[in-house]
Amino acid sequence: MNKLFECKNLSKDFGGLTAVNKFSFDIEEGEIVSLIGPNGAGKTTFFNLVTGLYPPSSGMIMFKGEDLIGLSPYEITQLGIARTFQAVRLFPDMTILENAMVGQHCRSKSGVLGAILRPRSYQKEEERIRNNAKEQLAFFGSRLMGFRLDQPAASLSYANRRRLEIARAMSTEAKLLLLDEPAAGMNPKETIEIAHLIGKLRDERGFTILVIEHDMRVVKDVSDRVVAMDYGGKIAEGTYEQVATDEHVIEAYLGRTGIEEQDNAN
Amino acid sequence: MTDSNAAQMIIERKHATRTMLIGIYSGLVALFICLIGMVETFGERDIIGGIISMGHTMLIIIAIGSGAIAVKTLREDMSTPGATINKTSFVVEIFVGVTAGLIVGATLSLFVFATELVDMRSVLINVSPGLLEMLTLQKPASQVMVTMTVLGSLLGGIGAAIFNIAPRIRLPLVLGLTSIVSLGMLRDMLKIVLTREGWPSVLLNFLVKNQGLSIAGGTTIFATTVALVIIWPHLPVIYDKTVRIIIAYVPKVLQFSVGIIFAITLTMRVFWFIAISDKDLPILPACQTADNSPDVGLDKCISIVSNDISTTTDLLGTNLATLVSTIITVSEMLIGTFILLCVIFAIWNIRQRVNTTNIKSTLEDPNNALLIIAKRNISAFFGVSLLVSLPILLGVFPSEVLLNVGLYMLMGFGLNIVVGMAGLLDLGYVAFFAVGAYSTALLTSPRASIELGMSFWAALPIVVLITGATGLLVGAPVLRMRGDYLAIVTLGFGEIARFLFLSDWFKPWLGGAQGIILIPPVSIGNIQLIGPHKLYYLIITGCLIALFISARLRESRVGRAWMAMSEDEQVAETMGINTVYYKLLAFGLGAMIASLSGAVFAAKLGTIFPHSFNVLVSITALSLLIVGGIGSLPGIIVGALVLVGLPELLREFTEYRLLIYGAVLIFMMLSRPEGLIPRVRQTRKLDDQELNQDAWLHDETEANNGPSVTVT
Ligand SMILES: Nc1ncnc2c1ncn2[C@@H]1O[C@H](COP(=O)(O)OP(=O)(O)OP(=O)(O)O)[C@@H](O)[C@H]1O
Ligand SMILES: [Mg+2]
Repeated sequence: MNKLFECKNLSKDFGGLTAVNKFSFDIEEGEIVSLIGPNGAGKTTFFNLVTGLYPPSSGMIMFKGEDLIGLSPYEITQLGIARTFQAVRLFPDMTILENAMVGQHCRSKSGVLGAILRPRSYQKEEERIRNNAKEQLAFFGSRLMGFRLDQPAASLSYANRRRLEIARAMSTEAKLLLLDEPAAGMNPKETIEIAHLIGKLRDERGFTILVIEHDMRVVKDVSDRVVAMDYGGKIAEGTYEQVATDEHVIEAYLGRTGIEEQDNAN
Repeated sequence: MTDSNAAQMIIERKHATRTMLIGIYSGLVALFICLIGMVETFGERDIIGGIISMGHTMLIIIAIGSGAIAVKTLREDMSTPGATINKTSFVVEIFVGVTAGLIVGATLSLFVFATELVDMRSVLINVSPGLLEMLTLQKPASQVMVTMTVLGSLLGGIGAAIFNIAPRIRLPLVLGLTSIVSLGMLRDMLKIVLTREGWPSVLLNFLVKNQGLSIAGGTTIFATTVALVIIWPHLPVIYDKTVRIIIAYVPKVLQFSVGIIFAITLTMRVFWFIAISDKDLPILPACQTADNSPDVGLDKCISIVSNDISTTTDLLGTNLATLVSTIITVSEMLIGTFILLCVIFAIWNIRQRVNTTNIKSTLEDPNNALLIIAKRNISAFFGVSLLVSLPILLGVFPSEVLLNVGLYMLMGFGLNIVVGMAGLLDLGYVAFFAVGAYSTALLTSPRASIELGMSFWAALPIVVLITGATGLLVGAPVLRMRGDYLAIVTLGFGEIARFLFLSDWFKPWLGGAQGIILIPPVSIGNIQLIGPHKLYYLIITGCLIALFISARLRESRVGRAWMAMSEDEQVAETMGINTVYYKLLAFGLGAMIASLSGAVFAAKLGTIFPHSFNVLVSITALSLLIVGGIGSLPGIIVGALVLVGLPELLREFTEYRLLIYGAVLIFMMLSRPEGLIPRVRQTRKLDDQELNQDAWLHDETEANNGPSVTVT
């Protein structure tokens, strides 16, 4: 078996609520997989389990043949999984360049003594970190470059913050990128662009990508495979067309909407 | 009456209420500082001898302030969107100021009147005849009531008027008055410094008159400040020109030799001061604690001091000493002349622009690399020489103040790593200071239980390591805590540390309440650093090292990790930062720097007790960070000078120190939450945020042609 990523019977309980329920699936190297599902289906929770923010209640997660359970988030990042957050979480007071440079942290070594004495090796590493960060930022054209490099992240527009978050994840030199709703809050033009960029991330930069997305146009454009989730479990898997026409999926979306409408009516 | 008129009435009523409230609050503040005895205590110190005391000045400032604040609030109210009236007139503003001031005056006069009727003294002990005398200027209360009220309105009016003067005039005026008040407050210090040898006695007699400044002195200070404020904006230009001229005209060899002579002179001066000069017989710190420990008698202290002097004078023969002092004086005069000539030439050069045609390109090129380096070097040179000559110029007592400032500054740098960089709110920082001091004492004092009697320098690395380890020990259990919880727990740790030092349990080793005595002074070769004016050099070295380390760490991989962690711990961890490691690192490094401060503290006092290490030390260290601006390195320096230096200079302060701390902190939180000298980045964020969003929208339409707006 040559799966890049694999999880089996993964579950997470929050008190009485089972947010992720015996969820199993895998990703092959070089794939772009979309994870869809109605609100509260447990998609973000699944990301949190994979990146080590929550310990799973049961099940197993393997990445590049290594067991991720019990590892700290930073160790998981070191192994090659990086993510973005549904509600953008940058380091607002740090500059754009610094935000991207932080991503390189797990690929560099220098410590306190190096920082104080600044030997050649330190300077070289610092230079490398800086160049790498700039390279990632340049992926998004000139929007994060030039004078913006030294501006605090909080000064960016919303769409640019999302881009910077992706750049930061790219800087970690990860193998697998987990993108949590990268197109949320973007205008139609920007959404098309993001879909295009996700393809480029795989084709040009060689990332394997798992993306949570609500915008079905994006899902349709980018995904090799789509996994649908509801009540923490997997309800469908396959190509976009297969999943989009799956009756469980339609029911999950419509059913939930139906309940909402009822709620609104009350 | 039309609708708009009705609205106007309501708004005016709102403003009137606001103004009265400001007046009442100010009046209450004035009353409060009277009742707690501050006015009377400060009244004993004259600003201008025989004319106005500091107590009066405080009341005057409150009255003027009430007027100014009332006008400021009025303007702010009117500039808020949706305000019906958005313009005031001069008359209205003066009226508002007068009203506020009037209420202040009335409040105080009512108080004076009330004291006539009832005897408040039995309840409020500070309502003394002295206070009343100050308020009424020895006239019957009924007479002064009107005068006080009128005076209050006048002052309030002045406050309002100040708001209406052009800033060009207002700034020099306000700063000039401020400098009179500050120098008047520092009169004792001025006396101490100016009576030292080397300062002309004329200056002292001219400036100071028995209780305060003389009138002529006050005027001179005012004039000097005004002149300085006016010249100030031109100074960078003059400096720039001077440096350019030095580069362009002065041969390299001469530049170099002046630099060398300067350095040698300075070194000799300092050496002379530390090792040979015995003019400044220090009040030996060990002697101060003589009462507490029967072993160290005053005679013993004196013998230590005289020993110190005899060995050091023996070091160089008298003839040599005379020679050295002559060399120093002559070379200082030469360098002084050289610099003066350069400055004069520069000023002349600025005036005669015609001449610039034949000056080499160095004089014009704005980004000359040589120029930038030269400027940096020269600034560093002057900075260092100023730092180094402070104790020589000021003498023992002011050096003591500087030493204390230095001790706290060093702690501030350490705490900044923990709080400012890593974002861990530590309220028990005193524990590390204490561990540093105690381990120094334990290792160096021959009287300590383990009787090692090591030298300060041999002990220092061990002290740093021990304290660093303590930092890890304290850090480990609180790793999972954040924010407020962390603050409370570390606060507890700080107190626990003190109780451990006090406890019977450790008494055999740490001496319980008696502490550890006979900690030997620091010595370098044959020279013993006894007295604050000598220890100053030690602490300043420590501060410079800590500053260097902090500055370098901040701009490094480690600093970025800390900053990321302080902004969002979870995300930092997800981006590959081992937060456990970096938290422990911050605690460990912070503790190490505090231990340096503790070590100097122990060597300074010669005896240490657990009581020196109370929670106030932590609070002061944290307050100076807040006042200076969290995370800002220059802020730490300014914070330490303001929060530690000023109270030491004004001995009246000690009683009210905490009150003033609290007031300063609240004031800072309200009006400048980012601190006196905020980190550059933070201000930039506020200024450019909108600009940036717009720039980005702009770009969108222009299709990626690069940024069209440049921000400097
Ligand atoms: N830390 C937590 N504690 C308790 N319950 C949680 C926690 N995190 C998530 N949940 C619950 O788990 C369920 C799944 O949430 P999750 O955020 O994974 O949904 P999602 O699929 O990402 O939805 P959305 O599309 O709205 O982002 C929700 O019912 C949520 O309330
Ligand atoms: Mg989600």
